[in-house]
Amino acid sequence: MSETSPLAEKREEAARVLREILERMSIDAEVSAFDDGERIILDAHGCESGLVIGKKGATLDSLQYLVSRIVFRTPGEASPIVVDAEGYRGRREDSLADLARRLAEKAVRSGRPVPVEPMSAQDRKVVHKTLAEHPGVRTESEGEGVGRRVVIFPKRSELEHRPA
Amino acid sequence: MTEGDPSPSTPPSDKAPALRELVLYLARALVEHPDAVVVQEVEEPDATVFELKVAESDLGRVIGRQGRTAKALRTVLSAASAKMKRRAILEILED
Repeated sequence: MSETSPLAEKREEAARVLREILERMSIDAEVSAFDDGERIILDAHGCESGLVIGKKGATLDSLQYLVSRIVFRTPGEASPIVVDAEGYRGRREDSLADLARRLAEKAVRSGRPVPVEPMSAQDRKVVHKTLAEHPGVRTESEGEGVGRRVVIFPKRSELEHRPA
Repeated sequence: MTEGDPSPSTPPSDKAPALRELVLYLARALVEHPDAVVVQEVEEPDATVFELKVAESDLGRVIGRQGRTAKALRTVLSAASAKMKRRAILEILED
């Protein structure tokens, strides 16, 4: 496609903003930017990428939120920007997907709903997505704010599916 | 500080000014009226407090829905200050 697509422009702007923030945090990291036509992925790498990630990815999430707000100014709109460091999000997605599948098996075996620990919207999405096609369970988010979590329900029969 | 990388551009020598720059940069990038952004640095015994003032109409842009933007600003500021071995607190002034 063309080199000057709106997303490509935003991609360069987003990469510049992230570089400028990291520089002011005195964090030594390189930023590479890609887009797949839908999402803009900014990956910070270098010896200080641990600082970019933070506890359970908290710094990464905050950087992603701020870069999104700065580059796409409309509040409330879903942003296509993903800030990652050394592929951390991909690794976390893999381990979240594993966890989701294990807990789904537990829900099927026990016949009881299984709550997953509270997590960010992004992480919850991974759990929902992983189990979307699972024949034995359905998922729902419950709770508010930082306590919001996915609950995995066993699906014993179609009849038991709660009407919407 | 003795970091391994002898980067010629920004030697990480003094601490507080860089944090003030960080808050200033982020606030200016978020708001509609960057010229109205003021960041004042207050040294307290156990921490540095950054008092952020923006145009009244821009308060929502630095606080965000359910305080999400303010929380993200604080997380980023803490991450930067952890490296500088000094606690940093962000206060958003509303008056």
